Amino acid sequence: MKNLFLLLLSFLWIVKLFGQSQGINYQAVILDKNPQEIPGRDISGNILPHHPLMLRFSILDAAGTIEYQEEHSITTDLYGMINLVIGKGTPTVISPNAFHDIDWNGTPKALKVDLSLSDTEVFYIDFSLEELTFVPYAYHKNITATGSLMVDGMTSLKSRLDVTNGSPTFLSGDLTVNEQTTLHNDLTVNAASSLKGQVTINPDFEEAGTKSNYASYPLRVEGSNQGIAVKIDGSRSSKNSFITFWDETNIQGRIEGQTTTELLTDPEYIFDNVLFANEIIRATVDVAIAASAVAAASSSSTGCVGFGACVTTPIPSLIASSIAALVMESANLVLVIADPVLYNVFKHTNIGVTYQSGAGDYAEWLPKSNPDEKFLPGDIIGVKAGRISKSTDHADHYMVISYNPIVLGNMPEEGREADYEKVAFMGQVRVKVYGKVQPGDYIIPDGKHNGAGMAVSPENIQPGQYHKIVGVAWSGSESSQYSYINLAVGINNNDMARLGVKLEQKINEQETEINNLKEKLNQMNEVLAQLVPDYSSLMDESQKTGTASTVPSQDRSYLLEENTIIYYEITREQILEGIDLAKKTLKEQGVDIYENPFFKKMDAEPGFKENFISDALVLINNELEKHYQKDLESGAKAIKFY
Amino acid sequence: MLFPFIMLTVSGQQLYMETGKVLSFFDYKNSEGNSPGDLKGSNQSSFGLGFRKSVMRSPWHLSFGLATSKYGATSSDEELGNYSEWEGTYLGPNLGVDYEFFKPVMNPVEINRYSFCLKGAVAADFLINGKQRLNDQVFDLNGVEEFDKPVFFLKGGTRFNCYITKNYVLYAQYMFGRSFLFGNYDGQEQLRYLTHNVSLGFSAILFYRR
Repeated sequence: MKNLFLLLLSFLWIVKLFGQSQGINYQAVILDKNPQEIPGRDISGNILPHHPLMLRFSILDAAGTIEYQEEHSITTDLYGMINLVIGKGTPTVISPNAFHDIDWNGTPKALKVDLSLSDTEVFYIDFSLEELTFVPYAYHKNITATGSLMVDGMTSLKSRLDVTNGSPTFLSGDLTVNEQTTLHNDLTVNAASSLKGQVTINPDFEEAGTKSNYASYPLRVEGSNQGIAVKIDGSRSSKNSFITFWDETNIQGRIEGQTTTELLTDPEYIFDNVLFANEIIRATVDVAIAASAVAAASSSSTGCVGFGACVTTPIPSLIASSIAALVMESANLVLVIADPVLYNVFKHTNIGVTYQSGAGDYAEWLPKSNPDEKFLPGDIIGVKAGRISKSTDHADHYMVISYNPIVLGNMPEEGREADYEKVAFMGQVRVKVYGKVQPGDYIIPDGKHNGAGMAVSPENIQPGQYHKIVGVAWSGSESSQYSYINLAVGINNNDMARLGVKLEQKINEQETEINNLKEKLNQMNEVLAQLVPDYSSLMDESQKTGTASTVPSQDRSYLLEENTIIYYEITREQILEGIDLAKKTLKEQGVDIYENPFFKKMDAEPGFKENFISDALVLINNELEKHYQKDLESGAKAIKFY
Repeated sequence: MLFPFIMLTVSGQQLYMETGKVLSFFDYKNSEGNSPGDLKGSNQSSFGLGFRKSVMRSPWHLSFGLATSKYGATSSDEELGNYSEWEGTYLGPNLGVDYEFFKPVMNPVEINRYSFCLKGAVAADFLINGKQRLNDQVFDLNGVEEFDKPVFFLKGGTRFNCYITKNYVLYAQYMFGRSFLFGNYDGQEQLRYLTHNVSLGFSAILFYRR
């Protein structure tokens, strides 16, 4: 038998993936190409059993270039068959790639097999050269199908699936994704969506837009008349947050549930109602003071000194102005009483959620007097006719630039924010002060128009400084220079009430002192009348040059005593005159009395007007009676004409 | 064909007819000179007719005849799973010479006398038909290289004669034959036959001279 066989190969191969290792299953039966010589007809197609041999596999590209090459040393079995996996052999030194690096890109590839019949003296002969067609592509990791790919059965992809070239993907059935899903482009959902997991919107905008730019908001809700509905499980309470606001460090605010019980125990609600109560007290005191002023005006007659004593009547304009002040205070009282009613109606009507924030004040945008003027949070500003400036001279109000308000109203038009500043109306706000501050001190502008304030203790506050009070210090400062403290603004009305009471006490003290002076003056007149001849006639001449009118002696002859205090009755006409004067005064102050609920009701409801007049007369007459009794108790001689 | 021979001889002439079994073997070498070790013999049959004549009344005899024989062999390759079987029918002349020992001189009444012969012969066999069974296939051997040439035999053997009567003889014969090749067979397959032929024959003495 010749040493070298020329073999006829009958082979078949199956391609299959073996878990993580790819390969092509290769099976072949090796037949003897030379016929077996026997007498007569020779035998062809004999197998080659139990024969050691070497096989070399080469995968060639379309140009015949080797993309991969490996060798196998193997022995045929009893039936002349070999069974191996292409991809698990020993790559040759000329193999340019590893098997798994072969790019099955759809271009033609061929499998070349070389055979050596000896595994010791290797001499390869061409064995086969076959084109790799469908099977290897279909099962290998990289598949490039130049046409359509139709799979009628279940398809299991054990690695990633890429749909490239901008090709759309259509699924006519349900899509179930068990793991995370990342979308790198727009997501359009044309039907209702139910997301049962936590949703985080974390846009990666290239340029952060401004807050006025609609496109800069990651979450936009549009296409409906309604906006966002937040429904929590169970009933609302303060333990449930509908919306919570975070920054990088902590929670900065939330909108949470609220029940009636929680509202009634809400410190803010209690605080607001205390403020309203104090405001009512203050307004009531103001009405009382105004009524007292009317009583004082109605008894502002002066006795005529000397013989033929006479009595001057009260100054009408003074009475009218005092009645006007009473009317205005009454109108204010109506407003003050109406406010908490409206507030509580609103709070109870809208109970359900409460807004919490670390920010401390309620603020509004107010326009600058000078748009070029610069402000910093904590600056004290003066408000004149609704415009702000650091110049606090002759300001109507004194307020503070807010740093981070919880509520910010009166939003300016788009693009005009630079002409406005956030001004704190109520709550706690940081304020710039100069010098030492004790908690409880009043903060007023320091008068240097630099945005700083100064502290004045309640004991040293002067009436002329009342209207300059910006707020009450809730924290102190030991610095003798500029510093920032925590200031309560818009909630010091109770302090103003106390100041009003204090002022009333001072007025009463001064009134008492005036009465004492009157008594001493009468005593002096008596002494001077005894010492100075014609003293009374001289005083009469002097009195005649005054502005007081003289009561006819024949009408009030029985009253002609020099130290008599006379109380005149306030008439309905005087009340009406005071109402007209109050309207005029308020109009001059720029108040729209037609929108004022008090005057609207006065004009619209005659009964209300008559009731007010009656109540005012009762109030004033009660004050007159109290003053009258007080004069009598003080020993003065008083007469009332009503 | 026999008639001229018969007519040319006048004394001691015998006609014979014999039949028997032939155990044949193939002595085969392939083109590489190797002999497969799995060839086995095949038992076939033979039949012959001929003329035998004494030479000068001596114990030597010449014989000439025609014979048809079947030769065959089998081969079984367990490793490759191949099985082959050959069977060919040959016809050809043969020419022999024998020396008879103890040849009896019989009178007409004598019976059952015995003698013994040593015989040598040459023969040429021509394939009449033949077939080769290869696994499940059968092939015709006509025209196949190893079988399409005449087979020339050298044969040698012995014969035991039983003179039944003075004119009739029964005999039993054993002949060993080995074919040989003519020509140059270098690089070619060579097939030779080895035969063991055992036969029984009957001969009649046509002209017995007193």
